[in-house]
Amino acid sequence: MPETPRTDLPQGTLDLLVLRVVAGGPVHGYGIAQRIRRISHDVLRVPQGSLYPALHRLENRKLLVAEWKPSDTGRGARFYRLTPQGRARLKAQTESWSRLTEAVGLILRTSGEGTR
Amino acid sequence: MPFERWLYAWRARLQRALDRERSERDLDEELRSHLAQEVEALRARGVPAADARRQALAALGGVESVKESVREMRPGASFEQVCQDVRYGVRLLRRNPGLATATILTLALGIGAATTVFSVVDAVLLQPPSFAGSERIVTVWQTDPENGNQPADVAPANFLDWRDQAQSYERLAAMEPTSLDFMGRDEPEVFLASFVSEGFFQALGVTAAHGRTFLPEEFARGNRPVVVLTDVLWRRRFGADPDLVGRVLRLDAQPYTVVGVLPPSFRLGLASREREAFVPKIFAEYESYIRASSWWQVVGRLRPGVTVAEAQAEMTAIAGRLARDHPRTNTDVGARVIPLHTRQVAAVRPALFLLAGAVAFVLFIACVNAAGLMLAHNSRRRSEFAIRMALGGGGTRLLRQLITESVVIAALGAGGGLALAAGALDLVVAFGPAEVPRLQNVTIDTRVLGFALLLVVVTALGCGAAPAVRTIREQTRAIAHGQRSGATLGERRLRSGLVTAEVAFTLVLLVGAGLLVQSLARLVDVDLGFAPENTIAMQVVAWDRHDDGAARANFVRQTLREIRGLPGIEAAGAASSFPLAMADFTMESALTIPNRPAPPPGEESSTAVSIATPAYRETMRIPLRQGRWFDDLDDGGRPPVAVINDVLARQHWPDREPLNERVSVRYGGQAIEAEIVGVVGSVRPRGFDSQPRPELFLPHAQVPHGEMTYLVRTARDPATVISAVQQAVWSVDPLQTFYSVATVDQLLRDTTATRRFTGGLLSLFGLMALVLAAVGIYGVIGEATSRRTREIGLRSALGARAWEIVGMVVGGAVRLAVAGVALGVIVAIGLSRSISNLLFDVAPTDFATLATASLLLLAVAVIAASVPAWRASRVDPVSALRVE
Repeated sequence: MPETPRTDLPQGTLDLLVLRVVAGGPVHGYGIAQRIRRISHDVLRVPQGSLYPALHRLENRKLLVAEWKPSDTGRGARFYRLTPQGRARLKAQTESWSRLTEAVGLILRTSGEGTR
Repeated sequence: MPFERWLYAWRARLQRALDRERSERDLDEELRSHLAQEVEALRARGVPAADARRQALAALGGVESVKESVREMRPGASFEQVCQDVRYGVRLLRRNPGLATATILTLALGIGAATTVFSVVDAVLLQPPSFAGSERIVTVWQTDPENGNQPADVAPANFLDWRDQAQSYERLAAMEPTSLDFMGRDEPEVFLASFVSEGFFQALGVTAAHGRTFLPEEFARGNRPVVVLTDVLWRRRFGADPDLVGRVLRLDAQPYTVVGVLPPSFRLGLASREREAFVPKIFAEYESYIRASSWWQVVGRLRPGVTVAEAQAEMTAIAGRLARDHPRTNTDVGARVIPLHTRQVAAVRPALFLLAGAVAFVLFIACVNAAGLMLAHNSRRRSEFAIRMALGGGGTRLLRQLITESVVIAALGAGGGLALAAGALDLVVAFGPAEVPRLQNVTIDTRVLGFALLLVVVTALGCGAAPAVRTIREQTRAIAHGQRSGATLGERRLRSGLVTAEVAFTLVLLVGAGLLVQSLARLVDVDLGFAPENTIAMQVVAWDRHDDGAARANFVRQTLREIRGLPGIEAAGAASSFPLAMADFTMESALTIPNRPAPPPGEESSTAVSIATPAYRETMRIPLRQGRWFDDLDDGGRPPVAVINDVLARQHWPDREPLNERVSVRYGGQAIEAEIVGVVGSVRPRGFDSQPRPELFLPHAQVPHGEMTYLVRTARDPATVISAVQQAVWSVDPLQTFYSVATVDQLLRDTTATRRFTGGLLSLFGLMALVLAAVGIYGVIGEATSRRTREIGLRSALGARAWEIVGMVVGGAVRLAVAGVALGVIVAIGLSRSISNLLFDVAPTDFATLATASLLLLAVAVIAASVPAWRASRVDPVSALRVE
């Protein structure tokens, strides 16, 4: 397996990623971990140990609900899906994330011109 | 309704428990399914089965660790953990009862002592007096350089000028001590009373509990006499009669109407004996001229916004004006404003501060010991911690558990301490000195409970957190380096350091206690100048009932004859001023020697003038130095005679005999010129720590004074004849009252009450500290010895003698103790100045005391080490070397 440089996940963004992945339809914990890794092309390292606490935290805040269903492999798994509050939170957080990255990108670009 | 609520609460609780169980199961299942999928994925990539499982687990980061993190996300998780820790802590303590008992007892001792002293300090020093707006109540005193500018009573004319000129006060009022003879149903009695000027009760913010206080018109001449009683007198003498207000009492043979009873909380706290009755002060014309004699006390209420400093500045200015206007009497006479509360506690504050400091030391020592015990406890649990951390238990989680455990121990200790304090407070209230204001109010209230709670937190953190952090840090390192279990070097150093500090603090306490106890011993060893044993002192005021001089002389002579006739009486005499007198009737007078040139102004000498009967000297056993004492022939028909004491004799006749010299003193506004017929030894007028003063005696038959203290020397226990002596006086005049009656021994004990109380408590604290230090040394040496069992076995196998091994172990203890003692001596010398004003005739750095305390501590260290030493000397080399 080729080694690509990996970045640690910035604090607080794990919740946003989890919400985004779950927004695509009911999915279990293992699936979420796989999907985050795949979507981010193996660049982001999500420690699996911190995934489950995050899932349970979101569930406690009523942003996710979970139920037991059989998975593709046939054995039971805990599937998570978004609640209406979860969807609203995802929308708000996505917007604020975009604004933030745009602003940061803008600053980086303009100050780059200044040094030239 | 309550039942339904109860049912609901239980259902909710059950629901939570079921939820918890289900979510545990869910979590377990969820992680298992995660692992299964990961393993499958890995195997699909061709990883062998055994490796796949290991890799999957590694990627997840430990199942238990993930579970723990998830549990912490649950609502109410931290509370649940605390409950768990408490349960676990209690279980551990029960498995290890010896250690638990030792720790809890240690803390109970420390917390108990601290709580007791805090209750006293809180009630006496911290709680304001029970008057409304008490922060604005001040006392105002007169100062003059003759008594070192100490605050003293006020002259009437000075008070009147202060009151007219000062703007700082809403009210400024004077109290003049007096007494009221009550001729009531049973025995006649004296009520200690005060004349109070208008505004006195308003200045204190006091209103009557029954009836009222005085009306403005009652301070004018010619009104019917009225009186206000304290709650104490109302209960004691009148059985709390609710109809007393409005009734007429015969006081000093006058009909006084009771207009009010003060609330139970009323307590002025300016003298050891509280006044029991108050009557309006009606000023006499002549009082506005009296500036040379001072016997009034002044209280005031500051105007809102006026500070004590501002009032003081104004009073200083007024005193300066008075000094200019009345240079003969008021030169250098100042005025001092002191908040009421400050004045009340002035006498006991140093002693209480000392005790508070001492008890802080005891608490510290107890905490150190408890911390040592906890460290020992933790180091035995090393393997448990190692397993837990290896299984993924977080450091913070472990730390929290250790602290919870120490909170459990501290709380149990505080429970024991509070029980101890409750018992101790009963003793304090019963035996504490009367001088301490509000001591009777000391109870365990919410403030004290709050303080105990604070102590729990402090001790738990002090004795639990430090060892816990230490243990966890060592543990982490041990895991990293694969060390074996057992107390580490760092832990041992910490414990040795703590014990050294403990020994140092104990030394400081022992030195303090030793100094106080020695002071007390030297104090009561001081020669009073008279023999106090088996004597009764009884004060009689005979002015009112015997208003003619000859009648007074006759009354005193007759009553003394009756008393001498009683069985078991050895001698009986009387004098106007008696050492230790409860009410001080001492008179001061200027002294002139007629055939000498008058001294320049400002260098006039004065003397105490006492009036005495012929039997007084013999009753008191005051030694006669020269000439003679009075006899029965020195009466009004003979030329006036005087006897002086040796202080006065040395002052004025340093190189010749004063006999047959003539002196002149003033008495009752007249000059009395008399011939000196004798010189007697001097007495200490206020008990052991007072200095003899110049004194001149005049015979009562020639100067029939009205305030006399009877001294009666008995053959047996004087307390048993008190009532017979009173009956003897009543056989002459059935309505004569007694101002106070007590045995002289009791009066002497009262003068040393605070010292004995402080010395006793400090000795007790010193003893507690000594025991705790011994336990601490024993713990450290004991553990060091058992750790060195192998080494000791090896030594004895190589031929070391038993006494050499004993010496080695005891030497370790002595090294600890010597370090502690050295540190303690430095601290004790540093703190010595703070105690010096409580000492008598002992230097605060007294070498003998320091040496004795040091040797005592070293001896205790040796004793504490002797048990482990004895055990070490019996170590069997073979079995010791086989260990491990």
